[in-house]
Amino acid sequence: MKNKEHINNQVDDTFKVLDSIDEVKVNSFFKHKVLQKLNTKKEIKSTTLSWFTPQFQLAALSIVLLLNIGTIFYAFSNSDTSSVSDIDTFAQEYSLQTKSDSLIN
Amino acid sequence: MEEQDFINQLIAGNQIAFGKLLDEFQQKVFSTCISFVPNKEDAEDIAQEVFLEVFKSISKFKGDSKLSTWIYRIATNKCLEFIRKKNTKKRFAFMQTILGNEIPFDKTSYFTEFTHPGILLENKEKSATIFKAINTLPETQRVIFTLAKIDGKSYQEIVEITGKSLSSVESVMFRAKKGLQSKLENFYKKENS
Repeated sequence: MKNKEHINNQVDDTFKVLDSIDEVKVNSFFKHKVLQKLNTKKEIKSTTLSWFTPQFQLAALSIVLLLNIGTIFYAFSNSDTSSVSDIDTFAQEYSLQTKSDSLIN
Repeated sequence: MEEQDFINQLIAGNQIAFGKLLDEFQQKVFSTCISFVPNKEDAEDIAQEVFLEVFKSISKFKGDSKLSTWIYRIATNKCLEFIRKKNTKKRFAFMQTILGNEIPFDKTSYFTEFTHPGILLENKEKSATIFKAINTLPETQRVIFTLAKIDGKSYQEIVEITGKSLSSVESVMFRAKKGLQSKLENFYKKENS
């Protein structure tokens, strides 16, 4: 019984601690620090990306996409003929052709 | 109307308005932060983040609450975010120890060995006990209890910050007190036995 009372007192005392917390003053340079951080952020933003507006971003993306599509289209449309002609040139260069159009042979 | 003018100045990026806002709220925001995070340096870092967030998002402020309420809401969320990160780090570090890849980390229990300058030396042990107990409460209870009992906000202010009804705040507060009481009783029972 006595023990329970003792525990209750301890609990009450612990709760009372919360009423005795003093106010902690903020650092006197706090405002200066925040304003400095804010200005640094603004500067970084303005020097690096200010010219790269959403319109520019869209235009750049469209160019990249067009170049990609163009390259793919070009590669696939010429792939058959170019590979055959490449093999012919290679064979002629090293005299590897078995068939010849020549009338002498 | 006056507040709306002030907000318009902030949206326009007026440096004098920013300065005024800082003058008015720096102490209040810092006090809220140090109530949740009982370490002066960390509380100050969070308070700085709060103001940077305020300046970044002021254009999104719709004015459906008071400016001060909106700022306190940001402060509360930033503090909870910080606590969550601290707890995740602790869990990660614990996993690392289990797996044998021990990495250097802050081994001190953040909410027991804190450096709250507003707490008297003779109360340090008891404060550590209660702060540790508060940190084990469910998030809603922790927020409301901290705002009311440590930061000293009125129930009406808490209603505005949390967006809950007055009866809901009162009932959460009651549960938080009850929960803390039983946690502390168990703690002292163990300590005395």
